[in-house]
Amino acid sequence: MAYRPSERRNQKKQTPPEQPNLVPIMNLFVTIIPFLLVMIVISQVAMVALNFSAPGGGGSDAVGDGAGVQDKEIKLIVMATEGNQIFPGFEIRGWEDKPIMLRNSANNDQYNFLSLNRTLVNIKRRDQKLENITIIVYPDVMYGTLIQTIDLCKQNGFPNVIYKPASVSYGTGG
Amino acid sequence: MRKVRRKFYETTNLSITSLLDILTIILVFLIKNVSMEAQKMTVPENMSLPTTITNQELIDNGLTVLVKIYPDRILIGTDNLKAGTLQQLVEDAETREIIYNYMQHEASQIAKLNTRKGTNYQPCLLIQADKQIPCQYITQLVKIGAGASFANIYFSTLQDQNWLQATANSVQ
Repeated sequence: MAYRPSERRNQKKQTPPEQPNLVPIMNLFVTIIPFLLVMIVISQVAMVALNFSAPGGGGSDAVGDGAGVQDKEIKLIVMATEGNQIFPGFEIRGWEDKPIMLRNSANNDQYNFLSLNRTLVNIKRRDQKLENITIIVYPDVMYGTLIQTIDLCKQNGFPNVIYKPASVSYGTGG
Repeated sequence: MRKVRRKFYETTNLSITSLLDILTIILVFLIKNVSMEAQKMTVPENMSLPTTITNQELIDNGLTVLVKIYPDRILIGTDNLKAGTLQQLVEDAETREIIYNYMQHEASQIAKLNTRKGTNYQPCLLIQADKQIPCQYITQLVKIGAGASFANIYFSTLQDQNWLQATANSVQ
């Protein structure tokens, strides 16, 4: 169909459809995504829980009646250096007649977690019903040591960890 | 004279639609993960958390109140309000009272929320402390928390399945 010249001038050119301008959106994304990526934590954050709602005070890890009374009260004492008398180590009372002393013979400055782990495995193997353990901690024991001790107890079948600070000074023997 | 015209090729637009799709998906994913609650679970700056194998979940209806313990300061709440120093925690009753009042206020807010909305949220105390801090300060804080109606106390750690083996290797 032919148009008159005047009409032909008014004809609009056929142009391809315009794409929306995505550059501002891209700018926004390029800014936000690195920001959010920085905030994401790569390492796996975990939690260790203590529960104080169970009867008996002190602090039991069991909810409600979970921390029932058991025949033996196993006490795990975490010691630290105090003067020349106390060494970094563990002492387990209430399991055998004599307290079990666990110390690191190779390096006196470090706690012997391997030995503690073995002992806890043995205790649990000999008495499957045991679930409660009381951890008594000296004031100068590091927080990291306390948490790793609680961790080992929980890993070895003692879900009810009772945390107590050492209120009396440590004497020799049992 | 004949003019030689150089032939210009039309530049094709870079199609960024698919890239935009990917970025949108990533953005949604990241926004979902980076929430205020997730912030409580992250590792605070300049703090070295202890490592554990255990990873216990927060109780379903738990609302956390955060306490960060650095060697030189104690920060409470998500706003990181400075409550004092470790020394003050042990020696200064006023510092202990500030922390206690804050915790009790937070616990009462949760109780009010429960009354208003008919929910059953439990106040949980989340302690993030540097592993080199002596336990006496942690004990003090746990006592304050337990006194302020916090039945559930959590300690932030880093999960490491091999820390025991690593310790054994370092000893040998």
